[in-house]
Parts: sequence; C-alpha cells; structure tokens
Amino acid sequence: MSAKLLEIDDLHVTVAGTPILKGLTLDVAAGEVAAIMGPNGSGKSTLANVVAGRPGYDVTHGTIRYRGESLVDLAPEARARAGVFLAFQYPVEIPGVSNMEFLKASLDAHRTARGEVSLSAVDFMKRVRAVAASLDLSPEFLKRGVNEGFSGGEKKRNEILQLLVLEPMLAILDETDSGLDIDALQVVAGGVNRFRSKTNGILLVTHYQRLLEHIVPDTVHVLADGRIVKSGDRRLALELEEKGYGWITDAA
Amino acid sequence: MQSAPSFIDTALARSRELDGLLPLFASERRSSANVLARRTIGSDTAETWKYVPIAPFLAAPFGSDDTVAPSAPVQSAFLDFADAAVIRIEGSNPGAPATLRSGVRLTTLSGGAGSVAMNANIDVDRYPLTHVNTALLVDALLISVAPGVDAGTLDLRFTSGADAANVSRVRIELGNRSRLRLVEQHHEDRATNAIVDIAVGDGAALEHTRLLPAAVAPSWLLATVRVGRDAAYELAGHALGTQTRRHDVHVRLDGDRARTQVDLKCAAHRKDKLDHHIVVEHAGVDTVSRQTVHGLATNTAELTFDGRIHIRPGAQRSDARLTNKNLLLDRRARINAKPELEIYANDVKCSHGATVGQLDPNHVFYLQARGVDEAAARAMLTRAFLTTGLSDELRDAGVLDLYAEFLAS
Repeated sequence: MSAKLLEIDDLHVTVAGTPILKGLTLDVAAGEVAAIMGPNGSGKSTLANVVAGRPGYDVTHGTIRYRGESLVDLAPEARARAGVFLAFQYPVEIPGVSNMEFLKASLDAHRTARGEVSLSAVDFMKRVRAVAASLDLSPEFLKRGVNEGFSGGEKKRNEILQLLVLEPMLAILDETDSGLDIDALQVVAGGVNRFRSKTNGILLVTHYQRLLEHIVPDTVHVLADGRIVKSGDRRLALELEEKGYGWITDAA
Repeated sequence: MQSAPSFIDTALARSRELDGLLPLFASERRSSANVLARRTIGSDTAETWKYVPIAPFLAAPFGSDDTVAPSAPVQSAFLDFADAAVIRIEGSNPGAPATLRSGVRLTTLSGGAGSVAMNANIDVDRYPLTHVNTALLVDALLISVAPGVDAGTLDLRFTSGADAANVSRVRIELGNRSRLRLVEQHHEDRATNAIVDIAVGDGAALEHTRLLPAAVAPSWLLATVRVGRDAAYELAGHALGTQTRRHDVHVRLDGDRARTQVDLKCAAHRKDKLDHHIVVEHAGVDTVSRQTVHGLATNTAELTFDGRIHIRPGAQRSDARLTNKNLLLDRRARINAKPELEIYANDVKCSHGATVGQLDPNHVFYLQARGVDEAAARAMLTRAFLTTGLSDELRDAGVLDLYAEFLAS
C-alpha cells in the first residue's frame, strides 16, 4: 500500500445540532478497501455523507484530507470532480432528467476538471452501453429518467454504473448491499471489484458481513457512537457476525 | 384611474376614425366604444385584477393612432412545425394566406367577410378588455374548416405591425367532424390585446398549441373556445412573463360528451407579473375536463394561476379535474394559486389541487455529488419540471428554447 488517499483526523460532525461523529480518525490508502461496520445509528452514513459534502452535515472539529488537501470547504461538485464518489444508500428518482443526459453532464464535468476534452456522443454511448451490459442493465434504462421507476436493485446497479463510467479515485459505498438479493449482490460486487485497483481506494460502509464475502476488505473498522472503536482485518468482520456488535460497543 | 380619461378620449376618437374603414363592423365597434365611454371598465374588477392590474390595458399606447416603424422581422424566433401552413399577422393585419387545404377558408373583415357578430361568443362581462379590442380593431382574420375536413396544421405567427399597439382578433370555426392542429406563436414587442375566438363543431377535434414567449410590454391574450357535442379541444400552452401579462382561457363544454384537456406551463422571472386565468365551464352532460398547470417563478416575479371549474345546472356526470403544481425558485418570488370549483349539478366528479414547492435539495445534491455544479444542477431540475408531460413533437420543435433566458436567470 502506498500514499494516503483519505485521512480523517478527530472528526466531529453535527446534524441539525445533534453531535453524530465524536472524534473519528481513519485513513484509507491508495489500493485499500476499508470496511466500516457498526450498529444502526453509529454514524456510518454520516461519515459517508460528510466526506461527499452533503449540506446539513456540519464539521465542528477535526479534518478531512483527500490526497493531502482539505475537503471541508469544497463544494460537493468540486469533491466529485477531484475524484471522490459517493454511492448513495437511497439513490433519488429524478423524472424529466434522463440517465443519459445526467451521465453525460457528469462525465463532461469530470473530464473538464481533469483538462480532458469531452467524449464524442458516439464514444460516450459506446462506453456507457458496455458498462451497462456488464451490470445487466438494459440500454432502455439509459433513456429513462434518473432512477425513475427502478427497483431497489436497479438503483444500486445504476450507482455502480456511474462509478465505473466516472472513474473516481475514492469510492464511498454507503450500504450498497442493502435491499439486494443474492444475484444482484453478486453483480454489484463484481462491478466494485472491477473498479478496485492499486491506485483507487474504497470505503465500504455496511451493516452486514455478507457483502464482505464478495468484496474482500483489507481493513475492517467498527464504528460505535461516532468513533472507531476497533480496527482489524477481515477476521474482525467474521467475529462480528458471530458475536454481534454488543461485545465491542459495550466495551467502548 | 389616472390615465383613463386621456386613453378613453383618444380611443373613442380612434374608434370613430375606424368606422369609415370598416363600415360593416361599425355597429359592434360603436357599441363597444359606448361601453368604453361609460368609463366603468376596471372599476368593479378589483378581485379578478388583483395581481396584474387592469390599468396598463386601459392606457396608451392602446387607443393611440401613432404609427411606428414595424419591428424587425423575427421569423427566426418562431418554431417550425412539420407541414404547417404559416399565416403571418402583423399587428391586426393578416398577411397573404398560405396555401391551404381544400375545405379550409381564410377571409378577413376588410376583405369582405361580411357582417359577423364578432362578440357573439365572448363573455364580454367576464372579459371587459374585449371592448377595447372591438373598439380599436382594424381588421380580423376568419378561418373556417368545412365539415369532415382534416385541415392539417395552421401556424399563426403574430408580430408587431406599424401601430403603436397590437390589437388583433382571430375567429376560427371548425365544422362538424373536422380536424385542425392550430399553432399560435406570439412575438410582439408592443402592447398587445389579442383575442382568439374558437368554435369546435360537433364531433370535431382541435389541437391547439399556444406559445407566448417573454415580451416587453403589457400583454393581454384571450382564447375563448366553445366545444360541441362529442368534440374535443386540447390546449398545450407555454407562457412566459412580461412586465405585465394576463393570459385568459375560457373553455365552454356546450355539447354533450364534449371534452377538453388544458396543459399549461408558465414561467416568470425578473420583475414580471404573469397572470393565468382559466375557466372551464361544463354545460353539456357527460363532459370531461382536465387542467394541468405547472408554474415557475424566480427573482422577484409574481405568478398567479386562477383556475375555475364551473358546472352548470343540468351538466350531469361532468368529470372535471384540475392540478396546479408550482415551483418557487427564489425566496423573493411570489406565487398565487387559486383553484376554484363552482358546482350547480348533483351528479358530478370534480377534483382540484394546488401545490407550491421548491427544488428538492436531495435532487440538487445528487447531481452535485456527480460533479454537476449547483447552478447547472438547478437548471437541469427546473428544465425537468418543465418537461413534465411535454409532447415529443413540442420538445423536438424546440419549445424549451423559449425558457433559455428564464433558466439562466
């Protein structure tokens, strides 16, 4: 493992005045898949959202650095263009904006930020169709409104489609496994594993060990009451599955 | 009304001048001039003219006989529709008729259309500015479609003429079982008083597209439509603001089983005041109406929608629905929504509802999280709101281009 992609130090975050993260410290290196596990309400989704810059998640103390630069004052779109990607737990439906139009605008914004020219419409279509096929998404999906009328599994696959088209450096997957049946889980995991590389980092937020059988993490961190209370390798996840969260959170 | 006296005097003088020009039309003109002379118009209209005031429509340049250079042709601003016969109307002067299908007849008052009771189908008490139109009308266009004829697409393109104000009138009669696709596009850069008066015969069908891009002077437009037995009237309208614009639509479902669908999108920005008043009257039995109005307001604009469903006595089994959705894009903007029901029959289905909301912050964030900047994200979502229910034909014709300035504001 090489350079640090993400460095979070003593992070305190409040949502609507309520403290949720209370001194969280965490690093993700290039090439690393870090799993964040923890009981409901421990702050997992808050962590995912605050890194992506969602309004309403206020950093009251501490730092978030991405490739050595502070993210805290950057607009969400600037973070995205710099290579930070959040796969949403609940992707929204946006009727009237087609998936294709949305993806093209996103990719153009990313490429412009990187100093690259926009892809031609033909090259863009080719690329998106190839990725869609790899995720068992019919090309018909691309014409519809963003996530409009998609099933839960289709929405999650669409998130992974965006991940693979936009090619960020840091992917934060917020409960990407929730609501997926086993077949869909395998398709999604396959997509994430294709994204995985020596230069990319992944922050895998999940409640269940199940996903980690398909996307094998390098490190596992347990989040409880706004802090990392235990870190280890994938054996920690297996232990959690066996014993539940109580033994760690009680001790913390 | 401060400016009324001078307006009335000049308007009456102008009206008398016009008598010599169109003698066949003189009696109706005189009767409207007499109404103007009583100076009562606008005095009892506080409620219906609460938002956009009536005063600018009872003032110069209406009534003035000043002439000015015709505005530069803006033909490029008009949207093109497939296989449409284009008819240009400059001020109140209809241009040379385009090639028309047989069974479609186009005449003008000045061309000897004869004595027609021009206001017979207009509820002049509800629309008192009709008297201004009648008193000052220089000419009118009359279009008739013979029974059983498919008239294809007529594209009426309104621009300003040499007069200081545009006063225009179009009357359209669809014979029984005929069909017409009517496109009405306004690019007037002067004060405007425009009436389109339509009768849809039994079993006939009219598909009407009304495009009202942003203008720069007071603008009043009325579409009044009578729908016969088993006939259908569909209106798809797109209206943007001017400093002061009032848009009236009056649909009367006179015949049994007549039906109408009115889809209107309206957007106001800058300091625009934009009023839409739609009245749908159910008079026949088993009549059906659907109104869907999407409104948007930003900057310090004020947008008003007043939608009324009126079920007349005896109009049993009427089925009426009105939906009004509004998007408020700036905390300084204002939207007034006033859905109304008036029911005088006991076996009817009516529903109406209005909502005012803002762009969903979760939608904005979703787009931002994919690298789209906030302003572009908001424009994309606003555009999406405008495309709700938009036909492919109108989308392909470029109707969203009308909103370019609005979306950029």
